[in-house]
Amino acid sequence: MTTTFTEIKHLPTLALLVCCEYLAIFKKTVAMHEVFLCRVAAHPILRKDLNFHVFLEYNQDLSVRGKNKKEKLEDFFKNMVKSADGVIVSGVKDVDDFFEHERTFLVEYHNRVKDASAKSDKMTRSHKNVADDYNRIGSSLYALGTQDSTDICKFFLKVSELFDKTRKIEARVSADEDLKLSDLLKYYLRESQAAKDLLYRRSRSLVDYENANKALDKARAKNKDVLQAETTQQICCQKFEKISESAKQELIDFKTRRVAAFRKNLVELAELELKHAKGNLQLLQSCLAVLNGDT
Amino acid sequence: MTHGNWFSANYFTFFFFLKQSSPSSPEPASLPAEDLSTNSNGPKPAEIMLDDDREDLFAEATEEVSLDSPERDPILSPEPTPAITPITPTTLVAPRMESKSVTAPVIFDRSREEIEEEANGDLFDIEINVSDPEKVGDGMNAYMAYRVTTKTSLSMFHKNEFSVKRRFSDFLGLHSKLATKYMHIGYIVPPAPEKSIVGMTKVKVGKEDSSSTEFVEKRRAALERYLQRTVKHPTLLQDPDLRQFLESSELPRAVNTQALSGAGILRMVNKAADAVNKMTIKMNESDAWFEEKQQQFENLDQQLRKLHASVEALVCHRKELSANTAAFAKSAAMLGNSEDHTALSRALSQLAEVEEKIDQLHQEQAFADFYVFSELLGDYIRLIAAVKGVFDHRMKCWQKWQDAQVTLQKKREAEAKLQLANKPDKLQQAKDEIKEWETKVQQGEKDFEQISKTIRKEVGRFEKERVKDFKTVIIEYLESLVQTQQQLIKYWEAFLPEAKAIA
Repeated sequence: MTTTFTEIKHLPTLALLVCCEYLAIFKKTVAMHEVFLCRVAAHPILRKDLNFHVFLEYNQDLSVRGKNKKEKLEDFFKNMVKSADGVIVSGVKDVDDFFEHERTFLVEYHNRVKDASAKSDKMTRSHKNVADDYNRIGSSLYALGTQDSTDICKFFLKVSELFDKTRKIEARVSADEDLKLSDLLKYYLRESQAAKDLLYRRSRSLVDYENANKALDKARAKNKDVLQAETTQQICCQKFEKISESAKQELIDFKTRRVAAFRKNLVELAELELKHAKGNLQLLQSCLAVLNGDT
Repeated sequence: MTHGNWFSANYFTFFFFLKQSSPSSPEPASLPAEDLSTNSNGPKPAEIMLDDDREDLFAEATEEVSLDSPERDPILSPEPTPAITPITPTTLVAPRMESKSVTAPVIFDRSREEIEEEANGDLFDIEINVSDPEKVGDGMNAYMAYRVTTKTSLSMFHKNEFSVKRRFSDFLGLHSKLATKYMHIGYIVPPAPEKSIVGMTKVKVGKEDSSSTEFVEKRRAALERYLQRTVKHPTLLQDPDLRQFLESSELPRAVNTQALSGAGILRMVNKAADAVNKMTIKMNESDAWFEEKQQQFENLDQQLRKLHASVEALVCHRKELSANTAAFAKSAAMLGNSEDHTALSRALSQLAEVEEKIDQLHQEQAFADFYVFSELLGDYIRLIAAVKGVFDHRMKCWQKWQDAQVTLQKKREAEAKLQLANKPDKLQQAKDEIKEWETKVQQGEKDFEQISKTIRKEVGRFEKERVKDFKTVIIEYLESLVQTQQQLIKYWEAFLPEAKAIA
């Protein structure tokens, strides 16, 4: 798709800009989807999910229904309860060192990723603004250059061309930063939130377990409904141990994935920045050579 | 017109001016042999100007110091004029105030041409620097003094290198004098930097923040560019006021440059009057060149304004980018601190460092965006306003000529009537008046031709300068962009192995 755009020089700049924008957003979305699918595929349990298989294999249109009002309302209330509960639950100190450490880590990490994500967004937007300014400057120089065919006008035309080209590179820098940095941070913002949610669920089940224990003790003391209390306690215990086990694994995986993702994206970011800077440099230097040669 | 004719026509003009002190004493032009020194017209010579020029006085009342004020004397340079005095070209084309000793006009004329050729051949050796802004005084009476250093090998100056302290109103005063002397005869006088009440008040009040430092730096750079442009003009370089500005340690204070002074208000009123006049003058342009050029300058003005607006937006956004990059760098550092995987933590800290360095780069680039590119465009927008002003003067000159013709016609008709009525005493007066107006018409035509000629030359010079300026500045700007990219490459190349080292 990119080659056809460079050929169409006569397209008004606005149309070209819109096309480039669309491409950039398309790239982003595709990348996000890819990451999501790979994650699901790598997960020991989720990969076996039937829905997942249908999604990957069914070769006709899936008719996916969005959430209706009722379901959206349910989600909203669930979130409310969760946040309120989360406050209560997070007050409980964990016996297990691993989880205690994870919790402290995740709370701080999540906040910092949030901040970094927001700042990265602002930075990439500024970059885009600069690229847009280059575009306007290129157009103004073009207008100056088409006044007549004197030397200075030819000069302006060449500089105008330079600005058009350098603008494309700057726009790509902005898009790549967005893709490799901003999106990475955004993703880990949500991942760290998901991890926090997991810890919350575990803490919730711990609280349930502890409550079940207390209920059992009380039942034994009163010698009333002991069997029921025992079963409840057992279920809670199992739930708790199961969630603790899987949570531990998930959190370890989270770290591994995080490190790998950051490594991949930071390396790619640096490589792309280098590529664009070198491209820009070459563009500028060859233009300067032409301009200096003429004067 | 051959060279000789041109010369004699202007010589005639000059002497005519000096003889002409009031409408009632016309004298046929001749080539008197007397020495026209400043004393020949008395200690306080009347203003040398065209007559019926009451309105002219008002129209050009930008000059605050009249010949009658005692302040004038120090300005007239006391040193003896050398044989080949560079001053003369100004008198040949009758500027408002100057009346210096005229010895052998022929030599002057040649010397002027010589000096102009020198200018074209780039033997123009003069370099001006404006530096060391220094606050003098306190409170609302405080001002910034700038050091103006001149380095030159031109013989018209006393030394090869010298410096003086000047304040902003001194620069405005200089421009005012030059504009009054030269604009109405067709010379494009470079405009002085703009006043800024807000900016200066901050400085006066003593705010030592970055915005007032920026303001002072912006002004210093603008003053430097202003002087450099002015000395590049071969005719202006000859001007004694310019020389005095550059050389003498004490300069009479130009009080009338203040916006709210009497003269300042008069200026504003005149500007408004001028604008109205411009609308009412319908000139029969016989010379297509002028019409074409005016249109060209109009187009150029519009386009430069657009470009300037875009570049100003770029400066703004680049500064934002720098701020946002700095903010991100800090955030990334914090993230690195809380990351518990050691290698990733280190890489994030490195990323933060890279972004901090890049923020510096953006700041420097924004600096270049502004001082190299944006300010040049601003300067040229103001210069074009000066060019338009000169074209307007030509129109006024034409109008004057036309008015003189109309008056002459009226006088002729009046004389014819008197002839019929047979009133011999009044008849003589009428004949005298006709002679007077005939000369005025001739003068008007000559002035018009002269200003047209000067403008043609000035515009040619302006175009050449513009081309040179734009090429130099744009190339300088592109080189700043090159520098930035080279630095970016260095930084990212240093970071890449760090990123790869994450295990």
